[in-house]
Amino acid sequence: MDAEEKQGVVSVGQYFTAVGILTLILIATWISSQPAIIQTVKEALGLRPYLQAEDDSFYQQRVHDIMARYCIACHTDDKSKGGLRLDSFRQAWFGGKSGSVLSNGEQAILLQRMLLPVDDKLAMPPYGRDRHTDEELAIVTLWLKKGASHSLKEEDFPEAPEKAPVIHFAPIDWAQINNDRQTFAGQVSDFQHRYPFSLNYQSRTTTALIFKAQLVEKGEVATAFESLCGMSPVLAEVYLNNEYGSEWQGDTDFHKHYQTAFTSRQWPELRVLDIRHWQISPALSAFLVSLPKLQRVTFRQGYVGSELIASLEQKGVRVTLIDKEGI
Amino acid sequence: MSKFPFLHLATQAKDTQRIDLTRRNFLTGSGATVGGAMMGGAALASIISKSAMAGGTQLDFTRPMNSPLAPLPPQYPARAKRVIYLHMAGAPSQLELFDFKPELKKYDGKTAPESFLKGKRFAFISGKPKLLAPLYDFKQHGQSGAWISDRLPHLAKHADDLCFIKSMQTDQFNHAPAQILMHTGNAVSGNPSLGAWTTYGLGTFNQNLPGYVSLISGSRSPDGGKQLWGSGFLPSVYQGVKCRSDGDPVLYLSNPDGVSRNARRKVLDAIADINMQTHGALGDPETLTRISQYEMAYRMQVEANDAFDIKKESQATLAMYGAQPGKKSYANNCLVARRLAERGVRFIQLFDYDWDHHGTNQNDSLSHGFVNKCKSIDQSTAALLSDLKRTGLLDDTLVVWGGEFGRTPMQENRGGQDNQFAGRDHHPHAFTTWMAGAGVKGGYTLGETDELGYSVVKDPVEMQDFHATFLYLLGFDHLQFTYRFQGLDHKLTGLKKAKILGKILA
Repeated sequence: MDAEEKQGVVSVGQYFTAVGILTLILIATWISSQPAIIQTVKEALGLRPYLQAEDDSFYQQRVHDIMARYCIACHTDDKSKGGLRLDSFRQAWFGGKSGSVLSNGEQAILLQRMLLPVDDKLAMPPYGRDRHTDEELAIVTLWLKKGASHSLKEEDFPEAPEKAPVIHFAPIDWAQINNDRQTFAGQVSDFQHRYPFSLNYQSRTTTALIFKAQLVEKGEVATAFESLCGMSPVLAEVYLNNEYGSEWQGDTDFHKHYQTAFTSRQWPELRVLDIRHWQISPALSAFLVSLPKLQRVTFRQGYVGSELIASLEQKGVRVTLIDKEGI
Repeated sequence: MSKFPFLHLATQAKDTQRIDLTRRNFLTGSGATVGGAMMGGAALASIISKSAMAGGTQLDFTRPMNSPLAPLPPQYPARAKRVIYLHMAGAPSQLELFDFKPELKKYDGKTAPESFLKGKRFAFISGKPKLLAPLYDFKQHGQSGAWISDRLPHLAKHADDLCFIKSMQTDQFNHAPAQILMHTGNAVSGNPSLGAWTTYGLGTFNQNLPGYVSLISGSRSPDGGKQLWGSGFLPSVYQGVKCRSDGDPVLYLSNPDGVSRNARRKVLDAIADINMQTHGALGDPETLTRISQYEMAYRMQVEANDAFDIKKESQATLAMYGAQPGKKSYANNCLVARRLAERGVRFIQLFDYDWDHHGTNQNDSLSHGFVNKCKSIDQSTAALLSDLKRTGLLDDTLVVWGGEFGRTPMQENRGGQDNQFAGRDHHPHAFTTWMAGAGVKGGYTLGETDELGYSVVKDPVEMQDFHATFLYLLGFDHLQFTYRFQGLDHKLTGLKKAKILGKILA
């Protein structure tokens, strides 16, 4: 009887060993299903590099925005429904309660949920939320198909839909702009007082200036132009056309005087120039070709030689020829 | 300075400013710097300003009191300096002009699929409408290979200048609200129009002409009414001036017989004195608007008649546009638009009525009335583009063409019976608009509709996206371009999240 009883009783030591082993097995099983822990431990031991998407990767450039737009309202660090976070490649790779959401290419859970009909209970994003477009779906599909990589670049996905350029407004540092404008601020404001509306900054955030002769009084354009030349380093666009074009059509000396005023200055920022009332002298031609940033220039037909037009166009300058009198 | 007879008022600006500042203005502005030195154009009179430096986001639009339309620089360097907006009121059929759907031919006369009808509302379609094949032939044009129908042979030559958006969407399916939405960013009345925002933000170069001109052709004014070029809650000086393209451009602009320009000047000075007294007592900025409008009318007496006088154009130019002086037509308006653009008008808005082709009678059918309508705009629109290109203006002019919504792939069946003539109902889910000129890619197409042209399948463009892009081209961040009214910082794009259409930008 004693022997029988002894056979059925497990010693304390044996019991704890068994429970211990079982616990270890359970923990091991649980850990093996926790890629986040494995990854973190391995990283800590230096066995693996830190897992994250590279800045120029296809994920970071194309996929991440889609996640950010549609998923992270519910899948991020402070709210991770289904244990899933999609706020970075690293977190997405760790997966959620259903395991990995990125593996199995096109069968990946991430994609399968996105493909469900809008009103399906499991559909993602859930019913009532903004839904991804076909193009966005195509991007995610491509990425998963090629193994949900954190390192493949955009050029590895030539078949991906064309990327919309992202418009980014730089924050404005008003103090800096004010500072940059200091050099010519006095001249600019004097000029604006004398010839209202004709001189303006190209934008609120730039130092460059635009001059339009259209609103300068008759008889004052040439004088205005002379004092304008004082600001030549910051002038980006100069439109000398106005209704009183004849003002420029004085005798040759007159013409020479203003063309000299123009050519004796540096115009490093000049991009657009309208001199349709000027007869172009050879000296001026050479000067125009030498302007470093010139993009567009307007002449009156007949006032300009074809060689100048050709050499300007060769430089990539757009030449407009006006063939009539008037503004 | 005699060209700006009102400049002497600049010295008074400081005093009037005191009155215009309410207690709230004063308190919010007191932390701000004095002087609008950074604001380029506003250097005429140093006045207390809610400086952009103080608020961080609030841009400063203060101008000298006597020149509310003084030019101001845009926020960022802009591609477009002026806008010519060609609105085809009534909504032209994209399926007969630009959105080529060969597949629709196969289904001609077949009942529309259930998915087209379930849960959808139409202006007139009821029951089970039939699909209607495109009525006209399409061909590819230009290097870009854009599909354009044979109704627009002249415009087709400009295929490589046009930037199509085939995925426009709106949420209004009746003309007036849809037009108001398109032009003001909100289907409800009371908001400033695109041109009002533009002239408020940028002013205008030519102080002798209105900064914002609205020209109308077709059998009547657009359904949305005057608010389509109104100023909404912006000061009324920024509203469009509706001008006529024949006779006096602005009614009652000429002096009556026996009244000399000198006498007119004296009268205006006397009225201005009285108005200034009123303004001194009450401080209502609308009084200043009134004074400046009188002054502008005076200056316009000289310049406007010239600007609007298309008789001054050569025969060749008139023929190119198909313009006939003295006639009220879209062609004349196009030519006037070019003349105004040359003279530094900031925003030129054309409305052309009669594009509502339902098919209830011959005149509003796609088979007849539509053909004539196309003829009436094709040559002149193309001429306008050529002319702007020739004069170099297209480099900094944004041209926009479009209606307020699209038209259904289905034949309209008013009251359950197919209409007598070929016609399509209003369709807000997909329509085509094109832009050309400053800052947009020529020969480019954004967006796509499904094979029957019913809904957008690629790059959907909501109205607020269109508006955000429009402001971007003019140099503004739509989130920062605001106007405070009734305690809210109002934006053209409203509260919905808007995206700038990066793909169409050159």
